[in-house]
Amino acid sequence: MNIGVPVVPLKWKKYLALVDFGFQSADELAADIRRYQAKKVHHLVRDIESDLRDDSRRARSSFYVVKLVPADLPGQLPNFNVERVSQMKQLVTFLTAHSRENYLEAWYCRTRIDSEVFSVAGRIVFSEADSGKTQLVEQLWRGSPRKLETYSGDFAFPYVRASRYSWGWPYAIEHVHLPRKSELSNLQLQSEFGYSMRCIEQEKEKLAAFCKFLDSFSFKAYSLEYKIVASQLKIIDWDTPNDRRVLRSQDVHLDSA
Amino acid sequence: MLAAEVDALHQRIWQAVCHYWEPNKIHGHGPDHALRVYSMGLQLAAALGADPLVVGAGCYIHDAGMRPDIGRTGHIERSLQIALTLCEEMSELARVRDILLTTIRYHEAELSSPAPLPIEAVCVRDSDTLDRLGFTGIRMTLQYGVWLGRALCHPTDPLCRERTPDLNAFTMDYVRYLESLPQLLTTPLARSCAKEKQKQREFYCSEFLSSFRYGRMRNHEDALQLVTAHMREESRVA
Repeated sequence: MNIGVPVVPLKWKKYLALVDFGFQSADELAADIRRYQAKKVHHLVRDIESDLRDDSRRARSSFYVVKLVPADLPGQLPNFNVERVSQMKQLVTFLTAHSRENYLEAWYCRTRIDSEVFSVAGRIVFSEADSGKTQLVEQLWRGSPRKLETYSGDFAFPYVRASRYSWGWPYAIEHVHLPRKSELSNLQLQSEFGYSMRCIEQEKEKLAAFCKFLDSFSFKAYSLEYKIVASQLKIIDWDTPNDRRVLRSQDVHLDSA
Repeated sequence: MLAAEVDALHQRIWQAVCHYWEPNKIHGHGPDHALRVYSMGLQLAAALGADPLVVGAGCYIHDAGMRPDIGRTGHIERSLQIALTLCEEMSELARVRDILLTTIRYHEAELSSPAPLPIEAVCVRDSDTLDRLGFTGIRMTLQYGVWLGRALCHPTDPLCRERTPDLNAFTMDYVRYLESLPQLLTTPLARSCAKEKQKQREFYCSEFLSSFRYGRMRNHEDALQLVTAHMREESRVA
């Protein structure tokens, strides 16, 4: 037993795979995802409060996703979204409610969503059905991609779902949703969606290399999550039917992380 | 509510959730699973005097939280979130919110519940369990195995007759595990339907073994062809 050797959460190893494939540097990853030991979550609360004050000074708005991270879960971690100072009490309640559970760390990341900046997030599902390979994209504006999981008629965010056969093929837009209060027009939405897809297409080589790696596990489907803020695309997560199997093949990170 | 109003509400729910089910065809939990569970659920509700509005809604939402990329992982939580959103959008559902959430939270036969389940939750749970049995259940299990990249069967004990099932390693071990589900059914009608489903499973397994011995059961595709042929035959006879 390696007493004293810090445990690297499985979720962090997933992020390191993104570093491995050149989507971002290890420094960028460390700057994007702020990590706190479970016993120091009060530092996380203090830092988010400070960031919210910073947003307010600059007349910006951001959302913050707080995740509780155990050693051995690759995804679907409990999380809490904060957009306003008034939600900080609820965040503390959330952290307290989970304090007896077996979490190693608490993390948070920040995404700008004010109207001064282009801000979208989405998920691409790569799948291989009887009809051939497809790429299904779901994207929303100014919100967390996790919200995609509850898309319905009254969805609060602009939303587009589209699919295409493979790299380089045009997307067929299957569904567009504009909330009643949206400032975007349908035309703007489709144009911004096209812009987002061009941003993704520019990273095609890296993405295709990562997909080729995941294809080697013979999964029928897997997904990548992304966000584009200003014109910067970031691949922020990936999911497969068996992440552990993928990570076992990447075991080099067990030593290097 | 009149039966026609219940039916219309179910149609609205289905329109709102069918896009969640569609991509899950890839691992065998597509719209056909939802529709079969819905149909059986309503039969159970009629037999037991359960509220058909809740049962139908629960059946249409119970696995909507599955995803094509991560499958079952975390699906109950996501289905609950979807149900909560629909309760906000449809006032008729808001009135039965708590019981609807219970049908979704405990729809899996293996999950123990803290207290006796309301009859509506029993209907959804038994209906889902029935669909996991027989030819339909075998096909779903095989499709999930393909999606997961799992091996079809153990090389020397393909039907897992002399081992403890290794559910992560072999799809046919999971088919063996399905044998244990009928004892988890609660309602007499579901238990009676399960007998026919068990016969289907036994028939499939004997055919599988015979093909395996002749080297004709090489992969999931062969196994799927066998079950699809039986399903086609059954529907022709019906």
